[in-house]
Amino acid sequence: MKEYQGARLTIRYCEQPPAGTEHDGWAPESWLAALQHIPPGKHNKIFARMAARREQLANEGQLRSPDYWNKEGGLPDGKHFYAIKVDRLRAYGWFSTRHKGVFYISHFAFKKGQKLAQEDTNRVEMNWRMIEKL
Amino acid sequence: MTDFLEQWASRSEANAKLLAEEVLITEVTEAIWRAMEEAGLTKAELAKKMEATKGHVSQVLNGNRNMTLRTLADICFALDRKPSLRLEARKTVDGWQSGRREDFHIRKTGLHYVQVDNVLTPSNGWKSAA
Repeated sequence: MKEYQGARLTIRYCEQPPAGTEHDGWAPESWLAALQHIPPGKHNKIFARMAARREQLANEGQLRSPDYWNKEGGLPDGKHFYAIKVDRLRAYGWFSTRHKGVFYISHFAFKKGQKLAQEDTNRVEMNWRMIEKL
Repeated sequence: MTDFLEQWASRSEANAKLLAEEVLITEVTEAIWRAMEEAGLTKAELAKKMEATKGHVSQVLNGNRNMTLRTLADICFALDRKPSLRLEARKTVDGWQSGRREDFHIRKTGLHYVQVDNVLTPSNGWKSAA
């Protein structure tokens, strides 16, 4: 399973490589799709910033800067989901109740407008139900 | 188990260097936000204490403007804090890192370790510790 282990949290991706395939070089499809909106010359900076922020989240259990982190919409259990922010790219996720110490990243998205897109809310909710309600 | 971001960083020295820059920026920014939260200060109030504009502080904190050591010192002074800095060995490509014991966070895992000199070995095997 593709995940990142920090001192306080494990960052786990809802998108995983297909079973039985070679995992090296694999990246979530939503990440690759979001990157398409960003000029190729900026890709490495985006990789580095996302890696640094998810490392900080994993080691400290939280991100404080509003430039790095945002509380987003509500989840069916009354809690909220969040976003790690890197420029206009978002990693939407939630703190798992079912799997203690795990922050699930539902998917990545390039944010086109000011408001949270309904399709992103729907996707987080769908993934949340699959993980938390099994 | 590693993730695709870690794989990207290990792909070249240039990527690892870029990540090291962003990690430092992230850690410093988060430390400042933590101190601001603890002091109950907003960005505007911090700017006022620094005799700077809110726009300047925003740019420094969101990474759009490089933070000089002088600016960091001014922020710390305004927050009544003294920064501490320690240069540690960074992780090698194979994932190992050397350093002082207190520099490492070890999570409570339920695993038991046997210590011989300065080497900690999981008593129930490496496989279960991995």
